[in-house]
Amino acid sequence: MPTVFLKNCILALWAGFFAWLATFGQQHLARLLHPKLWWLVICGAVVLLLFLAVNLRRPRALGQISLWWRWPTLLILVVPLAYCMMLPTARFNSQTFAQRALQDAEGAAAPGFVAPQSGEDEAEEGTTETSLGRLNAEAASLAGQEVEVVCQVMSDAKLPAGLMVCYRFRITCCAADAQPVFIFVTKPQGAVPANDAWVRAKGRLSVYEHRGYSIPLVTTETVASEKEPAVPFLF
Amino acid sequence: MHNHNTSNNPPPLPLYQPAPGAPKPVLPRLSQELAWVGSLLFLAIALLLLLLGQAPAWRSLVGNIAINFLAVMVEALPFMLIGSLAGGLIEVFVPATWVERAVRQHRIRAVLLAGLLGLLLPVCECAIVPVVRRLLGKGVPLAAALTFLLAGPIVNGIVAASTAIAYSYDWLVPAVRLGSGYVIAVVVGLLLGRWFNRDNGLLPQWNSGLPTTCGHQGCSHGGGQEASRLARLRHALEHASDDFFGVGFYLVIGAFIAALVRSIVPMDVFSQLLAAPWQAILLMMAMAVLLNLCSEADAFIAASFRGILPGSAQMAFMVLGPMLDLKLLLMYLSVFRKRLIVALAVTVPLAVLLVMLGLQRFFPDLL
Repeated sequence: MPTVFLKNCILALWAGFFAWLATFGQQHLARLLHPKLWWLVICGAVVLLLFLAVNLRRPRALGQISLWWRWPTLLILVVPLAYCMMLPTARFNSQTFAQRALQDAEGAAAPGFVAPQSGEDEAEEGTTETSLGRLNAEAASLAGQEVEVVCQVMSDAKLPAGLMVCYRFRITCCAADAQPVFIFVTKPQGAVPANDAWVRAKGRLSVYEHRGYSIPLVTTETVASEKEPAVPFLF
Repeated sequence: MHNHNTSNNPPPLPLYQPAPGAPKPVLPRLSQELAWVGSLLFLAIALLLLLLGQAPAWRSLVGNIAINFLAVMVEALPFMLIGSLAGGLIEVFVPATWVERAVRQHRIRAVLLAGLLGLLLPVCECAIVPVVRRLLGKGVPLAAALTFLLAGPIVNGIVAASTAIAYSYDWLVPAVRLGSGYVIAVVVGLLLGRWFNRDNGLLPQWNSGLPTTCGHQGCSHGGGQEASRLARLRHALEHASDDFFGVGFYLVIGAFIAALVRSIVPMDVFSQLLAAPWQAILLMMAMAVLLNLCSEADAFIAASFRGILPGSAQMAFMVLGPMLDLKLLLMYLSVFRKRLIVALAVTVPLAVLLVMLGLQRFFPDLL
């Protein structure tokens, strides 16, 4: 009987978690899953509720493995829920960037796969922002134009003097497949933003040749701190 | 074996419990104890890491692990639930006689067809294990089930489309991916089908020779009674729920390991050790096993290596990952005996390596 009770609790917890993500927890879901797949979470909640409904009305099965042997495997099922407590503060940052960027033998980050897969990573309507994906894909044609980007910044001793990396992550399905997309921006006069801070940088675009790679460079006129976007990823 | 009710009386409502005298679904004592200790060890590590995450020095790393872990779970678990549901519906609504007619024909033909089943039933690797468990329970031959298990997450339309998008609609890439995935799955299925059978390859509860396939003797899962449809649906959900509890914790452990690897191992570790194409192929195969990416997303990661690694290495990553990764290896424990899992872990990478070396040798500029 305790096994059945535990199983029902696990089903209820997961169903509740999925329901919360799909409703009140969307700001957290946006940091985990591509919006095109949010239906999965709703689907998961529905299936789990169905399981819970049938299990609540189910006659007690005979011959089951005793709770003594089952409880560790049942408890394992709630481990991901325990990690939810990290969600409010957990963020991809410059360490993630350095760890995921492909680098050449000399340690220079390679732009990697940057062509937009669809128009989805365009900047929000009503803003003058240009997405990092578009800047990478159309750097040559946009060169010389005024652009505005929203991104996280990273300063590093390995970078050319006076430049910062302006980066975001592109996801295909979920955060586990996130790949960094980046450009260079010139450091502003005065205080340089801290690593991983979100900024809105405005300036003129050019193409910077760096160790054999052509990387878009924004020569900044203004760099202002910015609130983290509701959906931090590019698609 | 399921008893088929041949009388005119409606079939009894399924109670879903073993008949008196049926063997209890218990693991051998040593395996059970090892699994128990292993589970406790995992719980201890997961808890320790979570506690370390509260310290400032560890917060960033554990935060990254938490995002990756939860992202994989939030994406994979619904797919696994859908797979469990499909498996439950197969268990209850697909009569064993249909399966017998469909696959108990010529052995090679059954394997060849099983490799294409993903085109009709497009499931990713998270969903496929519960479906294969139920198909095996229905009496599908081991060779055909293995072929579907390996080919299903690659030979399907969704994977073809995502691969084409990742490679800028160069349709040669999905064609090679699906083609090589199909060939490897069929070869491995036929090969392992020669060495293994249901008795030495499957855990006892999935061998249809035993009555625990369904857990309840005397239930035909059929009867065709309108009034019992709801009961049968409920029954299918009960099976599906059991699959969730039977496979789900393997998924959690696999996702956790994948999150650790994804958060700790730098990508350039792989790209810096490349002196020859065969090394690149081997390294990308290792990466496929460690990263545990969804078969619908891995093409985008592989494509990021264009210009850095040879096409054969990118292809090795896309073909091996959906067939064999850490999470899948753990999930295989819920249906196969360890010796079959070891055989899979040896033959699948070997087959992928040979095919990719062949691609590199004869078509070096194909991709």
